[in-house]
Amino acid sequence: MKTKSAQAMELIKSTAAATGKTKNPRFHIFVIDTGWNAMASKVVQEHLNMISDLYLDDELFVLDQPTSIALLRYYPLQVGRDPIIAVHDLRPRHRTRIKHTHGFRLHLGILDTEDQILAALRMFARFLITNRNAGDIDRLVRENLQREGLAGAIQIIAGREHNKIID
Amino acid sequence: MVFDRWFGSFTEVIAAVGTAAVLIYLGYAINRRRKKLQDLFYVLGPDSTLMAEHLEELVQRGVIRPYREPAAV
Repeated sequence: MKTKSAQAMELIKSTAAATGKTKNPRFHIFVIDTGWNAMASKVVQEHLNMISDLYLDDELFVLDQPTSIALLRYYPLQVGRDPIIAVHDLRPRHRTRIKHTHGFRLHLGILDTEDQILAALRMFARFLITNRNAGDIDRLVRENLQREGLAGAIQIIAGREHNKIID
Repeated sequence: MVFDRWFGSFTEVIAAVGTAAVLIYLGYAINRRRKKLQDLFYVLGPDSTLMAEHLEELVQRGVIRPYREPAAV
């Protein structure tokens, strides 16, 4: 039996198919969660289906708790930063000769309150869907999410939505 | 007359010190917030490539599979 969101998706997809849009994955999205931050885990779990539906053309991989723990044993510096939402760009723009996986990670474990976590998730979701077809995701993350540069500094002072996250 | 000259200088010094203090504090506040944003939205670099490649390998080997929304009961 199909869920309501699956039915809605099929309706939208049938419209998209008529306009010629097809599945063309740009990102691999990974959710890594050991569960140590129960509040952040709860928020992520509640929004998993929404994330999955928003990025229908991309692949979402959710690691269960044992797999997440096993993975982070190899990368101890990431312990305590999870839940981590890692985004890998499948069509990156390589800046140097060293070819590495491009993308970014959202470290929800470093936030303290549910409001902060929700705000970060909202920013992340909006950013990813807005810039899905952008050429240089790394640069856009630095400008729009990390607020680099003079414009970013002014936005930090002027009090935009990210101040809810960082204050 | 001497007093007026000194008073003017003193006021200017205070104003300059105050402005410098405000600018230093602004720079510190911006830097602190930006560091937190950089930690929150961390851009992958050559140093973080190992974990990224590990994840992709797990996908290739089929250890982790795409998420499928659970069907409604």
